[in-house]
Amino acid sequence: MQEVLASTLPNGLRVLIQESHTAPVATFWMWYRVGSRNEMPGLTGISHWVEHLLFKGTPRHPAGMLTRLIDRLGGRWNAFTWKDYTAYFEVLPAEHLETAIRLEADRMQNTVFDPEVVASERTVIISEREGAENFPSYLLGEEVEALAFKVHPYRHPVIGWKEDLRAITHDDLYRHYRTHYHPNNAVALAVGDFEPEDVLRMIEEAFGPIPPGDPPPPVRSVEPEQSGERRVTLRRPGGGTAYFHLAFHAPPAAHPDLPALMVTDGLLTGFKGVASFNGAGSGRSSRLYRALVDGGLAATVGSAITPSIDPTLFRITATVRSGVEVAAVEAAVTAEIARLHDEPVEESELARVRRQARAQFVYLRDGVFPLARALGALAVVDRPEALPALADAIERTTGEDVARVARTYLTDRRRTVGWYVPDDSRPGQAWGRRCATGEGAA
Amino acid sequence: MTVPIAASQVARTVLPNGLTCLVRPFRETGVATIHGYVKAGGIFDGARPGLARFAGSTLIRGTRRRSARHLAEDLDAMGASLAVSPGTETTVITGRALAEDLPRLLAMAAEILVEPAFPADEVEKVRGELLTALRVNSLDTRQVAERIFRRLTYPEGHPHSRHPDGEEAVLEALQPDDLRAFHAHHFQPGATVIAVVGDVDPGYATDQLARAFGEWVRGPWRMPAFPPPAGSVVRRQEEAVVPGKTQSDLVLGGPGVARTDPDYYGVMMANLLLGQLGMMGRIGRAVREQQGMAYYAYSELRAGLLAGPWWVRAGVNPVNVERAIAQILREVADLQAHGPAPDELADARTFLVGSLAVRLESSAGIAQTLADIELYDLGLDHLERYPSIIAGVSRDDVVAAVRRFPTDGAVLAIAGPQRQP
Repeated sequence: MQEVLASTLPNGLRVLIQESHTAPVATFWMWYRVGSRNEMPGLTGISHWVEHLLFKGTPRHPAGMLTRLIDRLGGRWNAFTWKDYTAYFEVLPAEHLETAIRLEADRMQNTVFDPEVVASERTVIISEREGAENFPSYLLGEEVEALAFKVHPYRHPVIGWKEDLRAITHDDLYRHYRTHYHPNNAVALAVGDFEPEDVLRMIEEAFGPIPPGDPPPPVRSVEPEQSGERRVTLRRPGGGTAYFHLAFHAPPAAHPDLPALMVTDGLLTGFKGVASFNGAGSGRSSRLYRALVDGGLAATVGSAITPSIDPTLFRITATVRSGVEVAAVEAAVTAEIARLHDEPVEESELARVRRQARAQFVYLRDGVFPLARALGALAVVDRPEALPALADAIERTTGEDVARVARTYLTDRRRTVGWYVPDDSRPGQAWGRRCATGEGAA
Repeated sequence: MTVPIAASQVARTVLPNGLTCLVRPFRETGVATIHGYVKAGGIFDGARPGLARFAGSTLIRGTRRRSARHLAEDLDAMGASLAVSPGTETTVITGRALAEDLPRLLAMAAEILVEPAFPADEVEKVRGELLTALRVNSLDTRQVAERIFRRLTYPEGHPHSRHPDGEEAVLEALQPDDLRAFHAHHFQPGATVIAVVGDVDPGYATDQLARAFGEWVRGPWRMPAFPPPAGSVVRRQEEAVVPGKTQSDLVLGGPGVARTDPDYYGVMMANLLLGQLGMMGRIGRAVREQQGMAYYAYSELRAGLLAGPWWVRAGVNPVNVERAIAQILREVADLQAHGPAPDELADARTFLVGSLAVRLESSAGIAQTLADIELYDLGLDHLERYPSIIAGVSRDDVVAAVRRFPTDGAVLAIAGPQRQP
């Protein structure tokens, strides 16, 4: 693989450019260092709302024209907001990359915050939240995060609390945009079938004239150390089965223990790589799959550690098999954690996880999207060189490293346990039906 | 624009047992991807909805050569993935491995498709997983609305009248021998296509496919016939109340067209304008962008071997259900009455042709496209002909197509919390 061309423009914009000639396409990404991590109580969900508003147009690219511009070129585009970042991307035939670069430079500075559009988007976002609320597993995750963090803004859901979404004003949104959307608070990233120098020139031309902004206020919150288990049981109707959600406090992306924790995650449910949306291996030979799914206790099991700017969570989640008690799932998971503390990992098992990791890093090069996703996320939460460094560190991780991080982080005093228990777990009797035939509702 | 894949770049081979192999190199990636279809799914469920789902889900849980555990270890030791997704019309098999592991991945794919063992203990585990999923879905408002829509739209016994997840009583009752019989009758090499795309030589990959699948013995297979859904001139609607929910999900529409229908391209373009292009087409623009009623409001055409659903789906606050339905119907009626604006149609054409390159940017995207071309018998030169096919769809074709979307005779399904009358 070619080296990443990394540079910083005089206005502070970080630029990362990576050639990839497997297909005649290219992708351009803008990563802003703003997400729910940067939100104050009362303003939760504001970063995600600003993301929605960046699709509403600028004087040069009015609403509707933005989408048409990308569609006509055969491109696709979207955006997502996370705790640590807000990311925007376009994937296009490579010859049209400059259109995406100019569009992103325009909306970094010139997005129109029309009060009517802001108002209409409020109900769209509340609808997005209400759609998620229909899933008990979503609600349980929200409860566990809010309990695991007492102080740090990672306790807030990215979409925001509903009362905040009802209260946030146009001026709040505009201020948030102005505070965080600056070249010196962003990373521009291109991957694709092009000459890197050409793309660097396009980025310089489009973004160079934008002046730097004041540095956004730092996030000062530090989560105090947890010194005892926390526990929540969510009981409400609407779920067909029970769910289990376990979270341990874990270190940030830049911490030297991250690679060993990623390997531990791989032992538990299969190695997933650093780019979400890129699929993963089967994980069916992993420890928790064997204990829970093969063991007849759960229908699905997963675990994850998402590299983050600040100390984060290592999670284990399971869909409890219908008819099984959540306590049985919790006991089996606890036993597997104890095994990590006490039993040395066999070399053959570790080799299997290393091989999965090696394969996942190769799969990143299949198409331009996954590599851009991984490079950009790690550049924001750690540093641009973090991706190849991570691959090397995972390769060097030993069984002793795994036992040490398990004993350090996966402990009772650092854990938060969440159960969702349906109020009435007997489907078919929990809901009624209202019928009408003939005249329509409209 | 340059056509991303020409017929000359795809190696197509039909093995003596009738299995079709497609191979296309995708260099410098180090990856090999497979995408295959077996024309065996809910279409063969008969009176036992969920049979295909159960049989397909158990394929990877043990073969005559390897146990479930052994298969899992061998797969994870490669860092590869291999998944079977049994659907209504086909069972889909997808996999990804490092290019050097392609022979081992294909050998495993062949083993699970040709020689599954359906061990009793694994059948019980899968039964528990499927029943749990079914119970979860039975309280998932999107799924509940979809099930109602299907039941009201298609005649009883039609595969699209049901959700491929099946029914609880059926999943409870099926035995390993039922799954074995289903597999033996309906999994046939002559009804199978496998596409391989990756960092491999086409001749080598074709040889590996022949080695893996060549011994599969051919049996009889034919596509079953189903009565077409009867049209309706009156609205049929039903609503399910699911406690503990915040949002109402709705599905509105009727049967669409098969992928091989001569009118397919007109209907596909009508659907694009109605609820796909840009921010979910005209429906998304009105319901989401202008009125702020929904996070999602789009139309979708499920054109397969059969005429699957053509529906509009939206999730709205319960107080907005009637208003959203009225707005959706107004958008449909407006496009039916006045047809698309000239620039709207031009945008749709340039999007369809231009987006080919982006669809074909990953090995998985290419493999699925090739397998689709074979499944629907579109010809290997399909992508080369595609621009002229799209150019040949006239405005009149699109208008005629959008007028097929049912309004007065639509089926409407709603699932969500109790609404105030």
